[in-house]
Amino acid sequence: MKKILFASITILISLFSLEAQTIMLDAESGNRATEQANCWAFGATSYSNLEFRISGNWSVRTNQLTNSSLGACWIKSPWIEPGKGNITMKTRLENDRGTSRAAVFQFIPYDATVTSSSKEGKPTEFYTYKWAIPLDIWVKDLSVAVPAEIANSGKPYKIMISYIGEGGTSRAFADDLVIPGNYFSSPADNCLPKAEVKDEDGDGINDEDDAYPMDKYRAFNNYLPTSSYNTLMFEDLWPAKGDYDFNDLVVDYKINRVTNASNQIVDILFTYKVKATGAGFKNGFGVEFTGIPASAVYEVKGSNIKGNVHKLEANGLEAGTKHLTFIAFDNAINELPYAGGGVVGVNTTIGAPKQKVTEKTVTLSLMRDGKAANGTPVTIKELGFDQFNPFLIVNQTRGREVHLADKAPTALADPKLFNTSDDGSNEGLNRWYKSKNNFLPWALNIPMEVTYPAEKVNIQKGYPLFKAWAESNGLMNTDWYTPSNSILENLYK
Amino acid sequence: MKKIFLPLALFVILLASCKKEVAGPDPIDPTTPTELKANASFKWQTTRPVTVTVTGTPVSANIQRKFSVQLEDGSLVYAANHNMKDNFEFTLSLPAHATKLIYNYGSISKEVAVSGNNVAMNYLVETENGYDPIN
Repeated sequence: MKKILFASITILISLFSLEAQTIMLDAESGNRATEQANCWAFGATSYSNLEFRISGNWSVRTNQLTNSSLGACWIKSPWIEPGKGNITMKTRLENDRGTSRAAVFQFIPYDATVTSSSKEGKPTEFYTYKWAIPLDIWVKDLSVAVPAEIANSGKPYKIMISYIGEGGTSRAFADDLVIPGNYFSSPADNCLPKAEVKDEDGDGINDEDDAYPMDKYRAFNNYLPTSSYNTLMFEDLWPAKGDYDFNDLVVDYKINRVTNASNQIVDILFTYKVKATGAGFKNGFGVEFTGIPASAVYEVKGSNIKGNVHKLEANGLEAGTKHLTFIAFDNAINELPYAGGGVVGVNTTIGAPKQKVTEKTVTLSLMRDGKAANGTPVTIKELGFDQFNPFLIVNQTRGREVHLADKAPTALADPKLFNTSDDGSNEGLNRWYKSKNNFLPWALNIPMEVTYPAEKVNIQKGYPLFKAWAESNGLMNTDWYTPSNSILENLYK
Repeated sequence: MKKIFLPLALFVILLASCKKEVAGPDPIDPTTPTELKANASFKWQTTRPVTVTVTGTPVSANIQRKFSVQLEDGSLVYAANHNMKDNFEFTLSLPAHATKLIYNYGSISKEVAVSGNNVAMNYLVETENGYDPIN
């Protein structure tokens, strides 16, 4: 008996919940755009909180009804699968001035063959409410049966209510519109009817959005700072001042954090091109991701390390560091060999032989088959541009690092070198790699691919707004590095 | 004697003409920008942090799509999976010269100007007549 009772209640609840599927419009958001985001559409109608509103704080209000066209003033539902029952709505006129007023109900089928992006087929009128003459301002409760040919048809339709009229100035208000049926629109897909989502790898990411549609462990490319190349430029005489041509090592780079459907980092792809080595030194180059533990990485692939200056962990990261640190190359000459011509450096002296620049990628694997290397996935929030700490290793001396201004040295930097010669670093003030009197840097990061100064040409000659930018604390001339603000003849070409 | 002198001289000339390409450090140019003096607190950054606050929309369907942000030149700066109903926030390091961002969510594409360190984004698309008037 209990079982029968339980089953009956379950069936009743199910039936009730089926009946309860409705689409509503009550304008209470106060912002028509909210409903438009849900694929409602409005023609010459707005939301109003004037005294003639019908219920709550807001109602839909039409323009003056002086047009008998069904395309003049209207409300249109999203795509729905209409159910059985009645469409209900409250409506009223704003005043009694006019010779006729009516509300016309139509249904619109989906038609994939029409050229319009809305894919709306030919509308069919199924009910018209005409106001009696003389007009009045009393609220009317309309209740209209969903036409049998569309109710529970399993096909998508829109319901459109048009207001028409002749003469006078009266507008109409509408509120509490309820349509039986299931919501069937796709707000992020031009408000077309819901379509089957194609997801080949089953990671929950629509193939259209998935940068790796056949790989369930990868979904998106996330670049730092942007997907275009960025440029790092170094002086390598630290702790002594250099010649400020910032071409002792020039590296273009982009960082791609490949993420999965949960926005966790699966790989870091560090793609770079050594563009120039204006130095006679054999400089190396590495990157620390400050705050990220070395244990977060399974494996590093693609480093170009030929010497024995760097000690490496089994996973390929540099050993003895506090944070995740990899060495991209230990000698820039191996990346960009001398091109001859009897000049010091490569690709910095105008007129000297040029060396071909090649693109390489170092890959850091943080997840394998959905599992993080140390059990704790790193998210894109945790590894951003603030954590990026690139550095030059001067002439095979591991402890002599050159970083961007105010970026801290790695644990392998030689502390005895700070505050010697021209360096003005001050650990207590968190000031690093700035000259002691003028606070000038030894390295610059440019958030786009730029041309660097030619040999022995001070950066200010190539980028004349550099000084004003620096002396304004970076507030003025923020685009000093863009091509339109450079003097090409002072830059390498 | 002359026979010995000639090859020796040629050898010396040859040696002298060889220039070692791997030289020492660059000699310092006397025109270094000593006249440039920055503030001690200046960080020499060419990017600026911009916090993006996205306001979700209470949509009637469960919409889970890629939310992506790009610069005016098309460079991608953010891509992640988000539900259209959710509010969320993230921080970008934008090039200092960037003045506009374009964000995309499925078919929704909007532009927003960037001037300070905060940007608001949402999915609302205000149009006069909604998505499409009657055919």
